[in-house]
Amino acid sequence: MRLLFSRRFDWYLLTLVLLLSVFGVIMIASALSGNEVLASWPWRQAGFLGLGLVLLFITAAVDYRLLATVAYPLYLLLLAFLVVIAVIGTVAGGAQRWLTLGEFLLQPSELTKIAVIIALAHYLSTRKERMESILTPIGALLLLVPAVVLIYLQPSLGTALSVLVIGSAMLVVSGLRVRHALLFGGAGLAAAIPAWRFLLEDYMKNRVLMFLNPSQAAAADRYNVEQAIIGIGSGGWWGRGLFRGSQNQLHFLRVRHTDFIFSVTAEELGFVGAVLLIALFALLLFRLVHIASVARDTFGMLIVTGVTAMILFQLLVNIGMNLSIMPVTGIPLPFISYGGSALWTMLIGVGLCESVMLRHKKIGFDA
Amino acid sequence: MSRRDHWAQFAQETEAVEPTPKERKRQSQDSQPMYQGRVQLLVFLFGVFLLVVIARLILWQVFGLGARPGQVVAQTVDPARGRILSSDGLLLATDIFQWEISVDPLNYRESKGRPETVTETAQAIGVPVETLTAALAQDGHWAPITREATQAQCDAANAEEAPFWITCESRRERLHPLGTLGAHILGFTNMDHEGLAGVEASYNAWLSQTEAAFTEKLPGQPQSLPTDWETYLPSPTGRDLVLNMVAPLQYLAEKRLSEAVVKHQAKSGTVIIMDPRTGAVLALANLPTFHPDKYSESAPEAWSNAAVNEAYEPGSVMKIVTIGGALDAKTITPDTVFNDTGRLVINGQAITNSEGRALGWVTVRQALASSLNVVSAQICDEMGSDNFYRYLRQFGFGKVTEIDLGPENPGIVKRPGSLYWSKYDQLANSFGQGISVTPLQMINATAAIANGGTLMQPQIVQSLVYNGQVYRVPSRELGQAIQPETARTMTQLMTYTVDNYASGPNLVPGYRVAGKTGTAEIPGSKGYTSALTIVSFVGFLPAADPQIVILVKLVEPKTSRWAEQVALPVFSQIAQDAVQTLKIQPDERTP
Repeated sequence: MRLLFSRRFDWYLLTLVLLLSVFGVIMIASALSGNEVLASWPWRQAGFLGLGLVLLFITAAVDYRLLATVAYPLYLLLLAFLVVIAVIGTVAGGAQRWLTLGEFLLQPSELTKIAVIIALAHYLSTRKERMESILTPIGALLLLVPAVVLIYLQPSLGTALSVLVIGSAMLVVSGLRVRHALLFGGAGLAAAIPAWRFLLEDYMKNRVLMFLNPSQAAAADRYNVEQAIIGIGSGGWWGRGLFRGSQNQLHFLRVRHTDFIFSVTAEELGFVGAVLLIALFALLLFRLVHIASVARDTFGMLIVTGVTAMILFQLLVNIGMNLSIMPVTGIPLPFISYGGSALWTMLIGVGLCESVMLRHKKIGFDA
Repeated sequence: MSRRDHWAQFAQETEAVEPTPKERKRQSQDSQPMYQGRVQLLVFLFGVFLLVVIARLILWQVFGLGARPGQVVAQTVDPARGRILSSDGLLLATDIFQWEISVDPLNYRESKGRPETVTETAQAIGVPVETLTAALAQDGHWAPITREATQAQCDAANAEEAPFWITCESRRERLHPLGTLGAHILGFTNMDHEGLAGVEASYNAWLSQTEAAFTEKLPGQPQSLPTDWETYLPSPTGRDLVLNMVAPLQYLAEKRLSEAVVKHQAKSGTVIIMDPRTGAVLALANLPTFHPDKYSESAPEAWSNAAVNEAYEPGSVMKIVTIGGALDAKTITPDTVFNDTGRLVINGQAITNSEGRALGWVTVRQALASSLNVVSAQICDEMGSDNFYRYLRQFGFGKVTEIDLGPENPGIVKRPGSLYWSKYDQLANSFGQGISVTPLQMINATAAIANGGTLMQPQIVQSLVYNGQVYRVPSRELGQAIQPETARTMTQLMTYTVDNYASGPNLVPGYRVAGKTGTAEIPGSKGYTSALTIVSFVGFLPAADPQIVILVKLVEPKTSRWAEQVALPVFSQIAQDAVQTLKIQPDERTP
C-alpha cells in the first residue's frame, strides 16, 4: 500500500477521473429529479463510485506485470461467465446482459473488456518481434472472436463493437503492418454485406438505417434522438440550469440517465458545460497517452492503450449518438452514465493505468 | 511462452539495472517510434472528431439549428393545458380526453354494407341501432354518432373490420366542471387550445407550457402543496394555477347578482369582492355571462369582462376620492363647513344637487353622507386642479390597474391642458360625471382607503403550481394614494355615511360598514337626459379592520333609479354571505 502514497501515484489522473465521476452522479441526480421511483439511483451511483474507487486502488496496488501470468485464465473465466448468462441470464431491457448478483445486476460483458485488454496486451507484447508475419494479427483476431461473438449474441452490438475496436487499436499501436491492415479492412468490408443480411437483428439494422436516413425511421425509434436534439438545442450558451431541463425534467427523454446523459448535460449546462465536459475527457485521454508513452514495457504500454481506446471509443460513440453523428447503439458515456458495471470497468481500467504509471521507467534523479 | 519462462523474464526485468538517461532515450527511440507515430494518428483522428462535435454543438446550441421543438413535441406528446383551481381547492378548468365516434355514410353505401352489419356494430359499440342507421342515412363523408364515448366503445368501434365506415378518434377538450362559475375570470380556449379570454389568455404561456420563460421568473420560494389542493394537483402537465377566487363566495355573489338583475330588470350587472390588504380578487362576476365550455353559444358581448374593460361614469361614489384627496391635501377637515346653495354656475354651466336639494351650511361629513354635488364641487374647486388630478392618478384612475386579466380599459380622465378640458369638467369629475372608470378601478381605489391609503395591484392568481411546488404570487403595492391618517378619517366619514342610510346600521348586522353609493345618470348625445341610471355601491368591512371590499353595480334598473334601493340591498346580502363564508369576526369597535 506504500506505493499508493508514493510520489509516483498519478494523482492528476485520479483527479480527472474523480471530477468526471462526481459530475456523472450530479447529472444523474438532475436527470432523474422528480422521478420518485428512481429517486435513490443517484445515491446508488455514488455507492458504485465509492466501491469502484476501492477497486481502482486495489488494481493499482497490484503489479500489472503479475497479470501477464493470469491473462488467459482471466479471459477464459469471463468467457465462461458470458456462456453462463447466455444460458441462465436474466432478461433485462430485451438483453441478457445482466447477471443477477444479490441486489445488483452485474454486466459481465463490461468486465470482459478488461480481460480482453489484458489478454491481448500479453499476446501482442510477447510477439512484438513477429509482427511481420500475418499470423500474429490473425492470432490476435482469433483471440477476440469468442468474446465478440458471445457479447454479440446477448445481444449487445455496441459492446461487441467496442471490444473489436479496442483490439484493433491495440493492434495498430503494437505495429500492425499497413498491408495487413488493408487486407483486414478489405475482408471486413466483404464480410459486411452477408453480415447485414444474415447476422444483424432487425433492431440493429433499424438503428443504422435511422442514422443514415432519419426520416425513414419509425416514430418510436426516432423519439429519443429527436428529444435529444430538442434538449441540446434548448441549452443555448449557458443551459437551463441543473434540474431545469424541460426535455429532461418533463421526462420526454426516456433513457436520460444512461445513454442520453450527454444531452441532459448539454441542455442543462449549455454549450459551455458540454465543452467543459469534453475538455475533461480530452485531458484524461492525453494523460493516458502520456502514461502509455512512459510505460516500462510493451505489456504496460498496450494495457494503457487498450484502456485509452475503450474510453475513447465509448466517448465518441455516445456523444456522437447524442448529436446524431453516430447511430444509436446503447453505449454508455464513460464515468458519467448510470450503471455500476460500466463505472467499475472504467475505474478498474484506470487502476491498471495507475499500476503501469507507478512502475514506469525511472527517471535518473527520481531515486 | 511457458509460464515458467515468463516468471524468469519477469524476474530479470525487475532486477535489471536501471538504464541511464542516455540508454533510456535510445531504448525509447528503438522500441517506440512506431508507437509515437500511430498514437499521433489516433490523437489526430480524435481531434477531428472533437471539432465535429463542437461544430455541431455550436450549430444546435448557439445558432439554434437542429430540430424545431414545437413541431416535434406536437407529434410526440399532446401538450395538455394546466389546471385551474379556486383557492379553496375546487377544480375550475382541466383538460379531458373525449372519444368521438363518427361514421362515413358515403363509404358505407359504396361498400354496400348490409343492415345486419350495422346491427352487429351498434351492439358492439353499445349505441342504439336507430342512431347508427340515422347517421348512415345522411349525406357526405362524416356524421357524428357520439362525442362522449367511453374508451371501451372507442376501441370497439376501431376494432370493426373493413370497410372502414366507422371510426373513433380522441379529442382533447377544456372542461369547466363548475360550469359558468367564474366564467369571466376563467375565460376560455379555442379549438387550438389557445387561451382567448380570462386567465386562460393572460396565463396562456404558463398553462400551455410551450414557453419556457416562466421558469426563470417563478416568484419566491417554492412551498409544498397544501392538502386542500391535493385532490386535483399536481396535474400531469405540471403547470397549474390557483386563483384567489373563493368558490363558495363566487357562487353566492353570482347568485345575488343574478337575483338582483332579474328583480330590478337591469340590463347588466357586476360584483367584485377583493381583499384590500393584498389586492386579491376573491370573487368577480358579470351578467350577462356565458358557459366557458360552450362560449360560442353566447353572444360575444357576454364574453366581455365588464368589470375590467367597461368604463362608466361612476357618479357620487367618486366623492370619496375627491374628499379623500382634499383631506389628504389638508384643504379641508371633516368639520369644515360649506354653504350648500343647491346650485353652482361655472362657465355658464350649472351644477345642482340631486332632487334639487339645498341644505345650507353643512360640514364635509354631512355633505358626503347627503351626497351633495354642490359641496363636492366647492371642495374640489378649493383644492385646485393640480391636487385633484394628482389624487385621481394616485388612486389609479385614467390608467390600467395592472390586474392579471385583460384586456383592461384605462377609462377616460380629461386633464387640464387637454383641448376639451374646462374648469366645469374638474368640478363635474368631483362627483363622478364627465369621467369614466372601470368597476375594478373604483373598487381598487376604495380598497386603498381600506388599506391605510396604499393602492395595491389587483390580483386574480394566487399561486403558480409547478410540478407540485407552490409559488405564491407576492402582493404588489402600486403606491400611496393618501396618508394612513387620511385613510382612517375617510373610513370614519364613510362609516358615518352608511349609518345615515335608512338601512345603514343593520346593513350587515354585527359589522360596521364604510361605503358610498353612486347613482349615475347615463350621458346621451344631448347630455344627461335619460331617466335610466347606473347604480352602484362600494363598501368595506369591518370598518375598524377592513378585510373585504365589495362593489355592486347594476346598469339600468327599471324598478328604481336609486342606488340606495337597488345596489345597497345586494351589497347587504353579499356582505353577509362573505362574512359567513370567510369567517370574518364581528367587530363593533368604532374605527
